[in-house]
Amino acid sequence: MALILDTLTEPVEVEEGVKVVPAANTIIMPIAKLASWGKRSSIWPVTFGLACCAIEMMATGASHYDLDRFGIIFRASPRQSDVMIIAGTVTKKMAPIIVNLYHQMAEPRYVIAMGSCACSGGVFNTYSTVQGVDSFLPVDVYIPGCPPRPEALLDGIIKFQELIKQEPYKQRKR
Amino acid sequence: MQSSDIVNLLKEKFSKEILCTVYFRGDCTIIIKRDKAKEILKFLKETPSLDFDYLIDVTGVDYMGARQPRFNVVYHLMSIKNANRIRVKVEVPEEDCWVETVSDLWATANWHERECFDMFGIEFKGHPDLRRILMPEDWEGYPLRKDYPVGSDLGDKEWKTFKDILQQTKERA
Amino acid sequence: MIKNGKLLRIFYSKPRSVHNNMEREITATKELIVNMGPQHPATHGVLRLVLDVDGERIIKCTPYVGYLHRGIEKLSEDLTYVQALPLTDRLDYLASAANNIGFCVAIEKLLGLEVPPRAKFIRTIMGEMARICSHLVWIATHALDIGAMTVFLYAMRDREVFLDLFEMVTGARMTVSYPRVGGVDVMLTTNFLINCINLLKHFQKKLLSMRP
Repeated sequence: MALILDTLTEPVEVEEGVKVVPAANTIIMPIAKLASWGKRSSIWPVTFGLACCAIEMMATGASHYDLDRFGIIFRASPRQSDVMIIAGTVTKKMAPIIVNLYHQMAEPRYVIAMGSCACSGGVFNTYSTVQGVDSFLPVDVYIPGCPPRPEALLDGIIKFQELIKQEPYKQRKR
Repeated sequence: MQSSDIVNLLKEKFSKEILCTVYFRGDCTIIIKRDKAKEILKFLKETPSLDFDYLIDVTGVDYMGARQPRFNVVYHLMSIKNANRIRVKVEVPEEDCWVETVSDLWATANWHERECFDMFGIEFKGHPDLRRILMPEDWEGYPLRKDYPVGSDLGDKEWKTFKDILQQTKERA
Repeated sequence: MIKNGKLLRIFYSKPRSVHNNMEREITATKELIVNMGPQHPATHGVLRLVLDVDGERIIKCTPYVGYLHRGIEKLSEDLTYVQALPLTDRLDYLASAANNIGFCVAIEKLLGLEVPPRAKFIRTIMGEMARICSHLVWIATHALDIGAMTVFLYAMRDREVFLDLFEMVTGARMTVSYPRVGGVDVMLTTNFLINCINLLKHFQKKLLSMRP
């Protein structure tokens, strides 16, 4: 890439579709890219910790493995959040409530299944446990582990950000 | 007070109801018939020398096929002052599945008995609020019985609300 | 009620309006039933509370449990002792070593096994560390609910030291499965012992830093 000086008045392409005019302090990009950059840099999950994975999610949100640097702020209400990180075992008694909460989230909404129990029922193949939350919800990212290390959760969230980056800009009907 | 003394005291008073006593690894268990179970438990609680004021747990056992009668309701009692423990097992047949409640003696028995009812189907007569506690209220079947399947896929006998959710997911897909 | 300048009693009362009875009726508080459902930022874990509320005072509270009933009892009927041990980790997942110890002690009592003294010491160390982890999470979430976020971050940071120690020996941060029937899984490493002693020197100061 050529040297980018601060006084250049021509637009310089730094990435596919993204042009920068350094002298004017301007970035030119298509709306789709702008929207996806905004969406993936400020993911607001709804606090939905059920069991042991919730503690690892809390540990990831704490200061050692910071989640705030990704723009992630945990919101209490599903109406104000865009992703539901289902951390923990989903029981059949809890399933209708999860469906309720999912419908309360505003679109575009995503689901991350964290931990083996949310991905596939985990160790608990019993009468009261749902074998994976994807039996009744559309899941975008699966993070296996029992519980997944904070680094694994961060890896999952980065993959989730890549997913948002590659999504076409159209109404996401879920 | 030694466990053998406690058992002797009980045998003096309720000789016909106590079927057998087991001493194993320092634990003392008495197996009694259902008829005077509540009286025996009340005696254990209210006799000043025994004073079993702490009910640790009420649970059930299912001896399907291995033993008659099918169910036992197990009470774990402890005396805090005397540091004594005793286990009382009440035999409950399958056809006539009930035991008298002890929730008026020990308040904690309220939820323990609800759990026992939820998991085994043993009715506790006189319980103020006997309904399911761990499973959803309209669940059918008693999970911890030995003839209940352990797997997640219950087929037709699935809980109706969950079946509806699965159905709606399939329709939406 | 303030009389002669002193606060005598705090009345939880309806507004007194001597002149207007209707105004008193309209502004009086009524009982309200609030469902603090299984998902709520303050119910750590799933617990449903149905609250009868008068203003801000809770009059009656009915808890509904069972939203995390996983059937561990039924599942462990088919498993061997060693296979059932990781299930006990997940009972009280904040202090998993303690649950394992309880399970192992019960089995050893049934089998009549005697545990070597070194294993007893190691189990005690692990159990107490697990208890401290659990209490740190308690204080972190309690303070978070009240609004003191700093304590949450301090306590979780202190907890990371303990989790690193667990990982050094057992390989897992939280659900350790370390105490086994008859003793423990592997011997503690020298690294662990050195770091543990260091931790003991500094931990009390860190705890006191969480005080106001």
